[in-house]
Amino acid sequence: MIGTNIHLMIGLESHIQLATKSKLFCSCSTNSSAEPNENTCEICLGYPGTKPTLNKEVVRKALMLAKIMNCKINYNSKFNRKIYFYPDLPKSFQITQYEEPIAVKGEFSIDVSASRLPNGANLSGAALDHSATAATEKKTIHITRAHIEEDPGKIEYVGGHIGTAKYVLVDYNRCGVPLCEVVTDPDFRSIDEAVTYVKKLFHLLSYLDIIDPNQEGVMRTDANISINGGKRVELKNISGSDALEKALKSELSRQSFLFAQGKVIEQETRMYSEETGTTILLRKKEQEEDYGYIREPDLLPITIDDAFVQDAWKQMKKLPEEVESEIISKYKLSKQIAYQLAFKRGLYAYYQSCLKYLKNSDLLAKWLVGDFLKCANWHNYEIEKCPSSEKLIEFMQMIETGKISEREGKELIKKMFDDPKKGLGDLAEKKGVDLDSVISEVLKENQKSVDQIKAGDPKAINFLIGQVLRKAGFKGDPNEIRKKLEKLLT
Amino acid sequence: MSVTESTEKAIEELHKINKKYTCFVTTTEDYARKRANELTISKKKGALHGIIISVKDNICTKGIKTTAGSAILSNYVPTYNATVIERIEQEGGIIIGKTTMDDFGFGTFNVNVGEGIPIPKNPHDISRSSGGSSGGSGAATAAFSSNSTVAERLAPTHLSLSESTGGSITSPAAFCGVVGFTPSYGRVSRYGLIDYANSLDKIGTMGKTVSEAEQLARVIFGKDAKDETSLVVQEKPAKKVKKVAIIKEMLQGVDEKILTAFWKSIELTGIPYEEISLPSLEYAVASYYIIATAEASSNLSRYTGLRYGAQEEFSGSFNDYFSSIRSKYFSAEEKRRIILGTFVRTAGYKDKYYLKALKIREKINHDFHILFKKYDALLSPSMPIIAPKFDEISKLKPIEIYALDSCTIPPNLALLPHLSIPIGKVNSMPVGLQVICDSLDENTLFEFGKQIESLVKYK
Repeated sequence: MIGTNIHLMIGLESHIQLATKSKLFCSCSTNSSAEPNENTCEICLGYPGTKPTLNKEVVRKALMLAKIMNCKINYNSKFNRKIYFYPDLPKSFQITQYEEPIAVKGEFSIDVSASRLPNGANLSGAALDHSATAATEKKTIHITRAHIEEDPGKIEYVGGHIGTAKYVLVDYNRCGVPLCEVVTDPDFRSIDEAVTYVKKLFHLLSYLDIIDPNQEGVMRTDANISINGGKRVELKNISGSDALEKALKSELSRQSFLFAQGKVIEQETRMYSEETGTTILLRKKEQEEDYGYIREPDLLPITIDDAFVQDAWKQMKKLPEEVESEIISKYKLSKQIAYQLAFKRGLYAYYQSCLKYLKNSDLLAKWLVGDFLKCANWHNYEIEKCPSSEKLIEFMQMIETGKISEREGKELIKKMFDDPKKGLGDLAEKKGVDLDSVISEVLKENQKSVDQIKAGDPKAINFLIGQVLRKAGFKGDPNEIRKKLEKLLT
Repeated sequence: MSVTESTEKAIEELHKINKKYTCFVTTTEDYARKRANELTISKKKGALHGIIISVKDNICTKGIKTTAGSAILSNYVPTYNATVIERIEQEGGIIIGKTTMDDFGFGTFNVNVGEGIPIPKNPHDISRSSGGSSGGSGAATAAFSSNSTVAERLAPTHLSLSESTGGSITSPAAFCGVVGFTPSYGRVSRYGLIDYANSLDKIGTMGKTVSEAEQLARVIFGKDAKDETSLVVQEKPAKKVKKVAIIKEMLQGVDEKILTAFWKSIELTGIPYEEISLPSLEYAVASYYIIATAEASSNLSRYTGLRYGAQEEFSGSFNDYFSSIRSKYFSAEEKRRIILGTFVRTAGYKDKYYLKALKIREKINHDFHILFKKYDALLSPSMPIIAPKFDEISKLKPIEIYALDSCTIPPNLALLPHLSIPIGKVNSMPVGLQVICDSLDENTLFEFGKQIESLVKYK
């Protein structure tokens, strides 16, 4: 569909919700599970006479972010007012950094596929998996700037979307939540690169507790996309890497189609609709608003010194590769296991808290990076949503003492994820299974295998053992089953 | 006399004054009585114990309507107190009402008021303006009786909390024959002050004498964690004023009779002075109106009829709704300043106007800074005219009205502390002298002000 002769350029602007307890300019909580409009006060609702005061913790988190983006720090950054009318913006202006952002000119390295396929292809996102030895190479994404700003409120379109809703409800809980907007140069040459960048950034920021990945919409991206040196189109407010991939693909095919027909691609702002799977026009260039930026007179410049910067960086958590070396030297685990234990955010700390009560550190690591991690990834769970460490300790003790078999363990872990409320005892309860009746049922259902065995094919018996185990809920010893089967079939 | 008794007397007077001069938007008798009773019982005696305080209506008072003089806020009742209100209450001041003002401070004569908000009359001649934008504070301060004189300095009965952006304290103080004090920017917290132009707004005070204005000012001074621009000030003793300067540019366009009164008062003080020129002031009024309206237009954009203030049945889109609310409830002057302020910050014009105005402000600040190395204070007339009659005002064009701020804008733009002190009368109307000191040097300003006051002896 898409010709290989298309030259693609993408630049991203990611709005990153910094993980702080209180909002950017007032002491309201940032907790997203509150009732609508519960986390509001006169200041974040912009009541006449109120004044903003800066939350220093936001500056610390922004400095951490600037460090991982390898940005140049601006020791004297300033706030501006970006003035426009929208129901989610109580003051009708957003306090942001315009002329003097806190950080500029950074570099962020991503792994891209070496044998670069034409644009739009290779969308597996496998670049995140360092262990994959597929040919990858480093690519540097240049960061234009990173600035601090306040989030507007959240609009709920009742009974439809922006174009069809009868009315909207506004929740100002999010209003004033601190954001750091990271703007890249238009360095991405494929959708894969853009998605890889967003995934890596998200992982690192969560890993370092700069963002809370459990919050909804914690990273929202605007993408500027153009082909063959044409006008750029801005795609607004895309949440998450999956949506980004879909939105970019859809917009790329729209532009390619226009290009193929010899039509002009106009500079405009669009949004991606999950419903239709296409991008929808929001406004054309000439409808773009003039924000009439002025300096924010109620806030002093953010003046920081080296000591403040160093102090913020000292509070930073370790990077995955640092954690990996620590694991290797401390627990003598293999590089492969250490890598996996280090990579998943919070898993190493989880490992350590379990280990206090367990004997076998190797066995624990093996289970964690094995079935535990598999389940967590399948459910797309952050560590906070996984079974508690107390539960896992209990589980490992059952494994260590041989109370349950490895096979039973694998099933039990799945159940721990599927049915988090149930206690381990209930989940692991061994109901008396009448093996003999299960075997006779299986034999009846699998006449073909029975015939094969009788014809002298020894492999077929393994299949029957598997069927019996499955039917018995993996409660039973495979050797015992084999003996019983052999006895019945010979 | 107990506080309860003196408050009752003040309430009686308040009613008489307000009937004659219509200087209050809201009077708070019940609240004042309640506070008076509390104070009568309480053992603590603060710096304002039992003193009646009137408050300009752009300063938020919890549970008391605060309109900022605008129809768009005519029903607005704040849920919190401004920091200055908290401080006044802690020191035993009794808030008796909210004084009328030009909408959001947009005016020099207090005639730009929203529907239902009174225009105050000058107690010296009710056919004349009491100045603006703190016109209600000026009229109330002149009208309330006093047991305090310059010589005796007894406890005042009434003081007024007012506010200036470009001259809103000096103008009514001069027109009404009272003392108006405007502090250095940052000395008084702005938390709870409804914004006109945040980088210029200053809450100040009015009283019959310099001591009175100082008494209230001392209570509201101080750093406030809720206002980043408020300052911690290292108090320095007052300097003895040895030499003052009179800036020629601040005498231009001043009425001849006022100039005569001005020079006569300088003579009476016997202070050595030099007449100097400060050419950058030519652009002060223009620079002020650009910065002030740019900020004002952003501040006023929050009034969309959604969460507070004027509201109507919702119909049409959000854009339709807020446009109709703003069209209906904003006055001509509000609209003028919103349009002007939006224009000067628009891409393509921003460099020419807004950014250039900021540069001029810096230049003027720098020039004043240099002056204060040589002189201890600056003197000028407070206003170029005496309080005009209401029918004269209606004939003036906006640009002519803006030009009348030529004396008050320089210290306001440069954020310098200043006083307006009554020095005499022209055509039976009061005339004021403006005294300006270096930034954060209020101590010298107050002492020098008292010195002038005792030498000039205004009656």
